[in-house]
Amino acid sequence: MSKTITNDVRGDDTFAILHLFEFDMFTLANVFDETLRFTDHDIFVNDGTNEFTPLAISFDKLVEDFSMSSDSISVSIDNINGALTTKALASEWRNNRCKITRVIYTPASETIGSDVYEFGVTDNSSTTYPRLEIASLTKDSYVLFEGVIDTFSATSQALQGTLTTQFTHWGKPHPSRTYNQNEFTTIIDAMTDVVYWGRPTDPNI
Amino acid sequence: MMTNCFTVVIQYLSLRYPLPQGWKDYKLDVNNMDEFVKDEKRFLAKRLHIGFFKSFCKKVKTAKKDDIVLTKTSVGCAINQFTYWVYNEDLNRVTHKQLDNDCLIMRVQNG
Repeated sequence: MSKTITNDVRGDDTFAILHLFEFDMFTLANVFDETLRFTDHDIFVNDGTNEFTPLAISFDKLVEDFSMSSDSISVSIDNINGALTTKALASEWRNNRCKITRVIYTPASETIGSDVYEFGVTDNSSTTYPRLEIASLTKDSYVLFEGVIDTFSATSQALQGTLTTQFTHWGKPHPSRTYNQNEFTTIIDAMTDVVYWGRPTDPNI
Repeated sequence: MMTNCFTVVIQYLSLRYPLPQGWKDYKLDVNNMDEFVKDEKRFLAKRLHIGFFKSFCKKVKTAKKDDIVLTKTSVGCAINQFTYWVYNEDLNRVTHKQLDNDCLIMRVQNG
């Protein structure tokens, strides 16, 4: 994945940023139910295919380093209603796919009546809720995090979850062991020993 | 034409579902709701908007798109199971809100 911000977006100083969250939900019978889609934007976001519901959602710092560990990130969804809690407790979240996408875009302005919306909204008829269409905007988007839902907890007021990358089967290539583990506890011991394996260390024998 | 949250929802739903033209003493005409809008406060105060939708809707616990969302003072329409839109008379446009436990959710019969 590329995290480069292209000149297309950088050329305009007024770029904006939003995040798209996807959580796959399975029923307790392990049958795919639906994909929940949220955004931390103020209004609905439509990427041309799917619609993302605005919720007060945040995630903590995402750190990448060289350590052989599985990166994880905590997500907190506040001010949720009973519907999400009901959904959370009636479905299986754990070990299901989750994805966080970052979208950096040049906000389009749109004048509706006497109001100018700099974030760009469409479908603002009197009977349609405003939403941001990002499919046609100049933007850079990349997957910020993709993994599985590790743990979660839900109450009537908040839902918190820990997401973990799928980088769990790691390993470093290393030379095959050529020493007798019964005799030497480490390969360093074997290398610094005065004789080769199987011979006693006492030279008089 | 005068509008409020009730008339906007009625206009929206009437394009998609067959709706009754009246309920008890209230003869609603989707093409002429000015009289109703003028009578809005009394209508809401008596919870008649709840009674009206209850006459042809069934109460549900989980919302889905196009379900009717009723509060004590407003009528809205569900976007999905988490949010609904409602006409804001001050802004003269539709805004979205999150569903909460105070919302009464109704679904058009066979809707």
